[in-house]
Amino acid sequence: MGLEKEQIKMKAGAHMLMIAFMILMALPVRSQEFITAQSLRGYWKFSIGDNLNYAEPDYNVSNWEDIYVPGSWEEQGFHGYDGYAWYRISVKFPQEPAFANFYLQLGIIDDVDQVFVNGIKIGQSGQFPPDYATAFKSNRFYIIPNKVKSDDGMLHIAVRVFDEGGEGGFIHGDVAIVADLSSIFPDVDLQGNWKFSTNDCENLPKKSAYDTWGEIIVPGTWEDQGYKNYDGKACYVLEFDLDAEYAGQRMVLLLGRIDDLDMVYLNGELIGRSGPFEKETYYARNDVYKQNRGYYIPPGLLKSNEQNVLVVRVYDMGGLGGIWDGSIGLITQGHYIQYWRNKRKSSR
Amino acid sequence: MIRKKSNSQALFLSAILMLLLFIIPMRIYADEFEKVVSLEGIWKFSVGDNPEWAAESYDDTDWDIVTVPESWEANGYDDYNGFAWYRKTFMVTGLDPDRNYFLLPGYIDDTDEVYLNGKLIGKSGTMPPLVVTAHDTYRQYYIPKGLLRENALNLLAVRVYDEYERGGIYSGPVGIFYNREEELLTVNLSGYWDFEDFKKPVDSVKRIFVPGYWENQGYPDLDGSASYLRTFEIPAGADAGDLMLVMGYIDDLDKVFINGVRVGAREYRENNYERVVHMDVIFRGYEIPPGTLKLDAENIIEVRVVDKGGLGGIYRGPVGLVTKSNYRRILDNHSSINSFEQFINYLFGWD
Repeated sequence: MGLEKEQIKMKAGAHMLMIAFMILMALPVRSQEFITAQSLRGYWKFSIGDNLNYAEPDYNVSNWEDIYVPGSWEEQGFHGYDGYAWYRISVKFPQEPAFANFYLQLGIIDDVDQVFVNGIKIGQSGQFPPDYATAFKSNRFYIIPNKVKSDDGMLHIAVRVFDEGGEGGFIHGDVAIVADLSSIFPDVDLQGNWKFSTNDCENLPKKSAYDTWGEIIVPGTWEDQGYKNYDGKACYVLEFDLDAEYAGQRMVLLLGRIDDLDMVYLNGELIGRSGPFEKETYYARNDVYKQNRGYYIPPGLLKSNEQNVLVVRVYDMGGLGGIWDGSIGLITQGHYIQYWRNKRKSSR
Repeated sequence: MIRKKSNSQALFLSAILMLLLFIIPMRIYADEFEKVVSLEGIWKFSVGDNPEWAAESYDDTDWDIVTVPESWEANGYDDYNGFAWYRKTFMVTGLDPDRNYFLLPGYIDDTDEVYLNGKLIGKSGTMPPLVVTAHDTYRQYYIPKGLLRENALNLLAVRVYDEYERGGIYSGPVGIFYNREEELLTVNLSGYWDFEDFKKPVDSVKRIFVPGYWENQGYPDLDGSASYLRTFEIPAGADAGDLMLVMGYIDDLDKVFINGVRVGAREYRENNYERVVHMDVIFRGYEIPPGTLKLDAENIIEVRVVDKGGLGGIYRGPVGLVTKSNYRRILDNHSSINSFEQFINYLFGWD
């Protein structure tokens, strides 16, 4: 009897493990691969005091002190100082890698910081007085939005710091502009509102039909957008205009990740699929929902003189469904090749 | 004689058989091939697709470098699916103008097109949008005479499309080879044959290279019956009574006629045999009935092939007439497959 119980326990344990494992497997994997595009280690301009004009790119900081970053200001001639101080540095925006998302990595700052790039606030950690809250334990990491990029390619970085006591400023950790190579930057953005229907469209829909359909945001699961518990086939349609510059070259259509199978038609022609719409495909390719879609568009199919019509049929076998994640758009073949080369370089 | 076996025994034997059937087709068919030059090692590589990359004039200096054979995932292109190209330059020396040379590009996931010095010499699978994978297909592409340059640079360019997970040239051998068994033949029948697809009316005779899958030679969708035809002469001094016919490997079934006389066939039997035996991995050797061969005139050989699906045709050599003693030497290289067949016959109590 005792042995039997033991066996049952072991079996239950094994089942729990299995279930835990399966849950882990089912979680969407979002991998990011960072490389340093430009180190910001070295001498910055520094001033104690506080003035929001210091964030302006054309504010003259030539008579400020030089201070080494990272390193507390106490170590560099400002012994015993607590309160506000500003750091400034101006660098060229990195040319390489091309077409990646860039982040500002600032390490540990004691206690509170606010970061401006070209005069625009891009992030903050902790709270300035009067509702003071320290963030000295957090490693600062801010995305640099595209909108802050200036025409001259310069990045004027201003960091406003408040230190309540003890060491102040950049304490330690890497200081750099880093690039995330795991995300693709399309040349033509196709994110946003698409037409959507839970009817399959094996016979491609006419404009008069899909004009009456509801809308859905791409990317995003359809469960999050009013189609709870829906499994099966569905149809997405997007009309878009294109510059002649892009219509004239080899382009790749990025559709991010799709749960589970998809067939893609551009201007009435099938251009790619992740596999036949059959249960067997799904059983054989159960990771297909994690795979980033990149379909090479046959030359001459894209148009610049009239609207292009993109139809994506999706077949979801269960759980979440739809074009759910990733970069959505068109990218030139040259940029696509560059993206994969960068990704490889960073993985070695 | 039929030996009776109990049900449970039969079940057990079938289980073993199924296991073996998975192993046997995975065998790499290169025993009979003599290497002229290995093309394994460092290659140029780029994802993307451009017909100009087949051309010798294209400058691939700034391309990435990868190792072949190895999937492109293992080469750092993790998670990539889609088109990619491989390019490599190489030299050869000591070519024999009488020999047939083959490019063995290795196993490729999923589909490929291979260009030598700018000319398409073979392809497997179907390119997008409706991909038909050839990831487990044995590839052997005949190199047309005069295409391979001796003591000068040659350029090999391989266009690959991968639909899911592993992609690229993932397993070898990769290189230029000739079939040393062809040297043992009295009459070598490798080369171009007349070819007729029975589904389509004949307006003109098509030529096809033997050995090689017909899918890779202009018949991508052909399943069903087709006929191969060619003529040959017996060299002076040969002993016709000592000659046998080897047909290599055929996908799937065949009937062979010389001068209108049926000399051999591989066809399904009237039992369950067809469900378990891959006819395409059986090495064909046929006795020629006495008096069939003409010594002082042209002989005509016709091979009718039925393909039950997937790839089809006389796909692997050697093909030709051979003396009985040389036949035994050739058979030694292929015996694992044929003794497997005998083993099945024994197992199921078939003749």
